[in-house]
Amino acid sequence: MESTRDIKGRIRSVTNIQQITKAMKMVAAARLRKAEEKAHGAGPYAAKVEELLRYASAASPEFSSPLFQRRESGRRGFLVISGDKGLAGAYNSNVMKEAAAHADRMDPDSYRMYLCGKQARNYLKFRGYSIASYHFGFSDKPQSVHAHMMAQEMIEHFLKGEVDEIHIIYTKFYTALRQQVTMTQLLPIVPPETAGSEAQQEFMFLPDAEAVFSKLLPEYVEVQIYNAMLQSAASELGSRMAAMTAATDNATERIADLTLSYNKARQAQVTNEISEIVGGVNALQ
Amino acid sequence: MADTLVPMKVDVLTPDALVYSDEGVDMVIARALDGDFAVMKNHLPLAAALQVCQVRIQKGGKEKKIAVFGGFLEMKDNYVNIITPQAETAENIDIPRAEAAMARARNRLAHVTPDIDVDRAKAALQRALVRIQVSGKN
Repeated sequence: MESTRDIKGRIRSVTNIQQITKAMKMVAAARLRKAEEKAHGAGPYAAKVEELLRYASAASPEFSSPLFQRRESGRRGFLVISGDKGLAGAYNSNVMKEAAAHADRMDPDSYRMYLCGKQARNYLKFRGYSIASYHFGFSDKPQSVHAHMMAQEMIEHFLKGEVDEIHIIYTKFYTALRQQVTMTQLLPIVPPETAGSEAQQEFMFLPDAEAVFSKLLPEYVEVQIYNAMLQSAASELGSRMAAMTAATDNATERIADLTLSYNKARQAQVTNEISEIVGGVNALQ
Repeated sequence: MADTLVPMKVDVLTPDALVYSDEGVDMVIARALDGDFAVMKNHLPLAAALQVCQVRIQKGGKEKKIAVFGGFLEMKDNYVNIITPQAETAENIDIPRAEAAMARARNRLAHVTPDIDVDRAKAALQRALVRIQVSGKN
């Protein structure tokens, strides 16, 4: 049986841990609200860019760009978006497992990994996956400049022929408790489907269709990356909040258990002392 | 065909926010890659690639200026959507900062050395000029 002092020490350390997890939970909850707003706020913009691309491609179906080009050799790039920090439940490991599973199905020479977030790099590098590039520092607060930078890098690698397809692996945010690792194709761009009525739309382009297209396509890539980053950021914070809530609850339970054993130990000690005294008194009589 | 009675609506949308929204607008003036253009009510569906420029939105004799940093203007069924990576209204512009940026860019362009990226300096100058234009100081 542990002494009351040992148990007391353990109660204290669990209480300290609980305070930390509680603080992390509150921080995550506060930031989640903002991240959620941002993730939803980017929706209309993304939808508009997609809509514009749809109109433009319906109006000039003959237009082709290197960014639409399908190539057969099948070298794939994976843009993996993970967090910089841990303590977010299964958030990071889910993304990384998905990335690793896709990479494992391929020849080591036929894929490239582009990573965002320290966690993905640590995990994948340790397991010997080759990493083409790595960015960090914005996982829970992405801005459009980061998306712009990544989009330029992806387009450049695609056009240089380093890879023939680029897929983006990120965590889609539904609610604070539900997130889903998702993979979507970034490049070559899959032209959005055009509904029948839109196909007949007459559209005027300034200066011309080609100029609009050549500006619109990189923007479309960027929007997709930005959207994925915002979704991932909200997922990370949601996941962290859930994990820290669970940790705080566990600590409460643990404290209750320890308090019970503390009281039992104290009672046993008191009983022990009484019987010793009584024994001593009896011996004297 | 678009209903001619529908008032013209304008939205300025960036990835982070709906910067500006208004209805009953008379005319929108912006600058495409090849020059200025204007759209009025019942214009044909239109898609334009914009420069870094000021967009002028005219309504009932008044004019609202918005600094737009690239992006697109889409017009369809009397609904103008300006889709841009970044947009600022006059209230959100930091004038001293824009003036400093203008001076810096001018200085760089006046004394070009090999390590100066001329295109970048020109772009910076253009952004600063648009900001100053929109904020109403010349």
